[in-house]
Amino acid sequence: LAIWHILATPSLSLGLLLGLGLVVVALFPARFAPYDPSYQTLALQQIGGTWMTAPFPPDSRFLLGTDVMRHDLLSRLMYGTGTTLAIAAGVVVVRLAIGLGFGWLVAWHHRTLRALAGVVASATATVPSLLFAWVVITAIGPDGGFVVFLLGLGLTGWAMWTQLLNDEVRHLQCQPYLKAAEAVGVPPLGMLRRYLLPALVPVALPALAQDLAAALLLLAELGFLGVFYGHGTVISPETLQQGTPYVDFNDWGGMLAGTRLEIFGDWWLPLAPSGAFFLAILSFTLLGEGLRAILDPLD
Amino acid sequence: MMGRQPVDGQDESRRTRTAPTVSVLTKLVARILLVSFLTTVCSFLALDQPVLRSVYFAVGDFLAFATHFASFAAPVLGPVWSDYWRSLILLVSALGVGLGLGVSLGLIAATRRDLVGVVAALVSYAGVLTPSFLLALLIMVFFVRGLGYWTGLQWIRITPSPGLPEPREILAPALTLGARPVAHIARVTAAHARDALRSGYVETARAKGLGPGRILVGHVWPNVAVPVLGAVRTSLLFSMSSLPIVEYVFGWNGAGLALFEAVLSRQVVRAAFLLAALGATFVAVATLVEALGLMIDPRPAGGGEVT
Repeated sequence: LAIWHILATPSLSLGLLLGLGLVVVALFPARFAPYDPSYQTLALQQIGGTWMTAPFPPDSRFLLGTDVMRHDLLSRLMYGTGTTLAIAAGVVVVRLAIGLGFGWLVAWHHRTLRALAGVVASATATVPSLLFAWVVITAIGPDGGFVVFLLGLGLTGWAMWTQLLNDEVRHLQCQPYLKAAEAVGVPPLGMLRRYLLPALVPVALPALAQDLAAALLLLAELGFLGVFYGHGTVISPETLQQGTPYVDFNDWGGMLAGTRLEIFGDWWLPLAPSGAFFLAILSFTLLGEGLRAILDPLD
Repeated sequence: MMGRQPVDGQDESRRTRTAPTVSVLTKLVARILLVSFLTTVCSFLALDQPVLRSVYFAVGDFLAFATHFASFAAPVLGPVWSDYWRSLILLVSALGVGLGLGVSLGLIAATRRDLVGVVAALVSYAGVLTPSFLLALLIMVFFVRGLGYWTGLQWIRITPSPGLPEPREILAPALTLGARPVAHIARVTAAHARDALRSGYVETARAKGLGPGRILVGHVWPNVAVPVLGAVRTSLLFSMSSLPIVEYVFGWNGAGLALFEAVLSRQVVRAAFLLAALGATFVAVATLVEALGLMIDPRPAGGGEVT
């Protein structure tokens, strides 16, 4: 990937810029956040000539407004970037491991094992990811922490990787150089390292970026339903109907919980975290499309 | 006793017509039974217990459920059925929106290079990127502050109510639930329509003087229809995934919201029936779409796989 390739592909340059920006903010939130996430402003303030209580709308001091506990939303979003991106990346790693493992079985192994792995992959591809993740995390309990989220979100959505590896292996198996390698006795792992991985990278990198976007989308939707990392108990629909449950934890999903009817009044409460999610999803989708345009132009 | 002899291959043609139908029906029933069985067994798994203990109790509970099916089913079947059909209304409407708008947007994006084509492509792109709850909130604001204000009518429900939904109340949730199907179907339609428009037979048809409309209907659409049918299956999956969110936002008493409540309050039998009903719906639609795809595929037999 040369620099002129990146510059000549607008989706890639924009996606890369936004993605890198998010990663930098995730790594060094204290450098960019205007306030400490636990900083609370005054409880009663005069805004536009009117005395108001929190949450305060966006103004020059708090660019995205404050939450009900008078914290700056922008600062909380910046401090929550790391956790949110880490969960999404972890989910992609789990999906990658399961998907490629099954893909390896489907592509290289005995017919019965291949058929069985194929059936499992097809079956999981038909499970609605959000429903599955929500049921699994709720049933185990979100107090189980990071691993529960990785399992809930990572146990579906991996069939794409199985399909991808299987397609590539089938394509490669028709190539004469692979037949020659097989004939001279190159072991499967050697073929994986020498032939398959170099062929897989141009297809896998764009898919990786887009899977990251899909994981973020799931996290956002789960957060809105009251299931998010860092909160010990599941929030019931009744609690959500009553309003925003405040959680002392910086996580984009958590900031979305219970904000359904806030859209009519304190609109910045749902829109600020939604905007952060949208920006992150957009950046990784653009990155994926840009990478595909360069690495796999025939697709 | 001797059977009747075939007259001019009449029996033969009847046999060839009925054989795929029987095969599709058998496949449909077998898949629905399998999915219902699996979802029911899975519903009894207590995921917060150690694995072996969870499986042991799940098998025991499932056997008790299977042997006393009628007494378990009686109290929940009525509520589950009413939740299910309310969701079915939404899902069918969402797929209708997805097919109607998605195919139109896709064909516009494929055939027009002007601003209209760009807007069509952007709309489908936005549908893929926007989280369903954000879209639901924006649509809710539009229906309450915009349409509701101007028409004086209540277009959406804020809190769930048990009564029958007004027909106009279907519009907002169906549009939200249909957004991702619209985007997906539009992208599939546009990609395959572009391929078909570049193909040799379309060039030949153009050279023979056929108008754009007749080319689109007679030559492009038959090749686009099969992938679009495949996209219907994926779109249904998207819609089912977003069902709890849309029903929660629009106060719609459906299977998604009921599942939400059943899992939280540990009503295992209710959750099992709801999951089985949703799973069976997906399998039924997928099987029918698969069969329909094979029937309408213009390519020679063997090349009509729906992906």
